[in-house]
Amino acid sequence: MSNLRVLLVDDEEEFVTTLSERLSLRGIETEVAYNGENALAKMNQITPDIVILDVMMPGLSGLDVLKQIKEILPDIPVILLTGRGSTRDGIDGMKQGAFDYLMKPVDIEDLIKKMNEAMKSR
Amino acid sequence: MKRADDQLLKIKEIAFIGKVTASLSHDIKNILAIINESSGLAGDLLTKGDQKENPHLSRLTQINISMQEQVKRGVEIVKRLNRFAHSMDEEASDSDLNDIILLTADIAKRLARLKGVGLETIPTDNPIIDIRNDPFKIEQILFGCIEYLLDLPAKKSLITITVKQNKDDTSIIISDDSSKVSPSCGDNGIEKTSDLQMTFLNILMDEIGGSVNFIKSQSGNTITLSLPLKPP
Repeated sequence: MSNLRVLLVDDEEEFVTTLSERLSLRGIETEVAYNGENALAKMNQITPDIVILDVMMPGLSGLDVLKQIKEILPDIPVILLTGRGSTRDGIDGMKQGAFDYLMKPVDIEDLIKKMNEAMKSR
Repeated sequence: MKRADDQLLKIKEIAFIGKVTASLSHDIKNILAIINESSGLAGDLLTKGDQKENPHLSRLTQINISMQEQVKRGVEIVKRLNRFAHSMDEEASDSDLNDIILLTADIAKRLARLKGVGLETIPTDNPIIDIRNDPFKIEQILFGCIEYLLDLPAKKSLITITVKQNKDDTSIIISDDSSKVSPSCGDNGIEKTSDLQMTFLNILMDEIGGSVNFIKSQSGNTITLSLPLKPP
């Protein structure tokens, strides 16, 4: 998984920075964005290998961001994070082109496994 | 007209409670996600080579594991709260009855445990039982049935819930094992509060087009809820 560049998008700053640090400890390069607008701007600057995207964010929602990513960079896999109790958001996201979804809180090993699967699917 | 207004008001009130509860449970989940990551990061740092000389390494690792276990426990409770809150979204919706039963049993387990009674759901052959009805009311009725059996004076150690699909309806069967624990309990009287509870359950079941049948026999107490496939 080293040399992989991941964009983490979530409005919960502490969640994103801590997850980013944990991924970095495992040799994964990370960039963070705290809202949808910022995420789309970073997409153009860094072209990540994978995007990890929270569904419920103020402003542009995760599903709005997903739609725009799929329009500009359709080959980049997006893994959604959903904090809701139901799987509805995740399934809706997969219908819109997300590779898969995980429920929050995430197990880091599950996240890395999912990222591996996403990279293999490219 | 007045009755229709009252009903609409009640629906709106329940939907409001559901919406607020769902929103708060989402916030709690986000906090748990941060604690989970922070504890995970602490665990990552504790396993690094430079921590080998730390005299508190073993205790810190133990504390960290305990934190992660409590986060998992918290997440399960919040998930239940969130699902319960969303069951108030709509008066009648397509739901999986197995999901409703599992959720209610999970919520009622603590109440049963406090009374020293186990609560188990018996899996059915069908993984999904589609039903179009009011999930919130079904949860309320099911919880009420469990409370009813728990309040009966007969000693019991286990309450089981199972589902039977019939041609025109679906039955939820809630039984206790009072006969095994105390064989002579079958003739014991029902407490007044339980009688009121049964009246309440009958009213609720009537509202969703179903019926309640309570049988008190030597083989234990059984409540059968007959649910229509569609609401009235």
